[in-house]
Amino acid sequence: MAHVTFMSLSDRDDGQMLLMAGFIVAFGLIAITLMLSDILYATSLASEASMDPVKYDFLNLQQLANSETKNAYKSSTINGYTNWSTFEKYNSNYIGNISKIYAGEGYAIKVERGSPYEVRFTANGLLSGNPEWRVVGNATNIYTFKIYNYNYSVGDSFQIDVVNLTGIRLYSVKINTIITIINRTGAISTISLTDPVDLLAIGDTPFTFNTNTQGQTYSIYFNNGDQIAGRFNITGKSASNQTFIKARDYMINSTISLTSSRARLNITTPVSVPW
Amino acid sequence: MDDNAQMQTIEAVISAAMMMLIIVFSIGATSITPLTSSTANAHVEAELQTLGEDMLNILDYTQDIESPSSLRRDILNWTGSRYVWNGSCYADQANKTGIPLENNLTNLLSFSLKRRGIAHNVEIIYFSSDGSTLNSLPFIWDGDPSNNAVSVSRKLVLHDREVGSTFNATGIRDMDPQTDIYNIIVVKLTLWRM
Repeated sequence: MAHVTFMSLSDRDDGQMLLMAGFIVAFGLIAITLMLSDILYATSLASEASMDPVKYDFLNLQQLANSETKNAYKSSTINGYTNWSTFEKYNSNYIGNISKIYAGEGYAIKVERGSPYEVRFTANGLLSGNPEWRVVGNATNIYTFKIYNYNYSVGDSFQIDVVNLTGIRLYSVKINTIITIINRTGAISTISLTDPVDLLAIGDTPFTFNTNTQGQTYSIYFNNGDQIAGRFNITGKSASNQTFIKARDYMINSTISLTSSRARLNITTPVSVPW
Repeated sequence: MDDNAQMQTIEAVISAAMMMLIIVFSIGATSITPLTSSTANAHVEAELQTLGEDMLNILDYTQDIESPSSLRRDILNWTGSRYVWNGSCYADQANKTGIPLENNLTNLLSFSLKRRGIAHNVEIIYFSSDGSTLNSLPFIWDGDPSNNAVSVSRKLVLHDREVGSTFNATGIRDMDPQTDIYNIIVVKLTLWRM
């Protein structure tokens, strides 16, 4: 005869409690999984922040502001005379229209130009800039080399050096209360100060620029450029047969600010004009 | 009256809820593809955006302000035609047997994007002659972009002194006859994965 056991009511309740406990554990696991999933999603959102194109657009705007300050000056300057009214009109039209483009992309921008101020003969045109730097490299011909509207302090020693590819100094000019020329052989000649200083016209043979540099490929260096302020203009041809212009008349501060829903950026850059 | 009925009802409800959650979660986990609007897609878009920005940076780089960048030269030499990829080069859509477009822009696009299966459009956005509206012209066209496409742009100011007579054919006109500004354009590059 088969042995039959009957489950009591208490045993059945225990079974249901165990089942409920199982459900609770399962829900807990689902909740933890969803939380981890959300954490992963949040991490992805953080990395997505790097997609914010504001930095890229700001750099583009800054480059444009610099190049358009130069272009505004160049287009307003004819035969050494700058029409500042034309300069302002160029700026006004440029700023008004570029603002419309950026507004369409969700940015509010502001571009301001400061008043022109004198250029130091340093690498970046500022008093704090590198005073010893190469202005022209690998030149074979110089067509214009003028320094004008300059001012200096007595005792200062701004010097221009022309050095060939093997490092030999071909020609040097010191500008102070007098102009001192040192030629290729080391001989010295002095002449009285003029403004402008036309380096292609000063000195007699064998102290002229062309006599000492003819047939050579050379670089032009400015030394102690922080001790003189003014304007310079150098044009010529390089060894690769390309013409070049290196000229500075003024420094102009260009200030741009860009505001988006996420960021606000503001920067002032000193720009040398025309180059 | 059965006292267990309430407990059985609760069990049934919980079971149904669990099944629903499992179905929803499973669908959410399995349908993430590169083209799905999801967290994975955000990474694809970020990569494309960086790639596009780098490409425009390279094209618009110039060592000397007097010499125009490759991008500027390519735009100034454009005559307004729409170019499409014909399998080997960018051809004029209206005259596919004509001379293909070969310049710095197309070289970089075919090298960096075509080989990797990234579709792209290049559009030129410019001001109307009175400066009141912005218009758009397709330069290089791969078709309508998908939902996961990203756009990067580069602004260029064109000047009277650098614009040749052939550029008139593009329809982009001098917006500012009083100054040296010819027009301000936006080179818009749109990228998406096919």
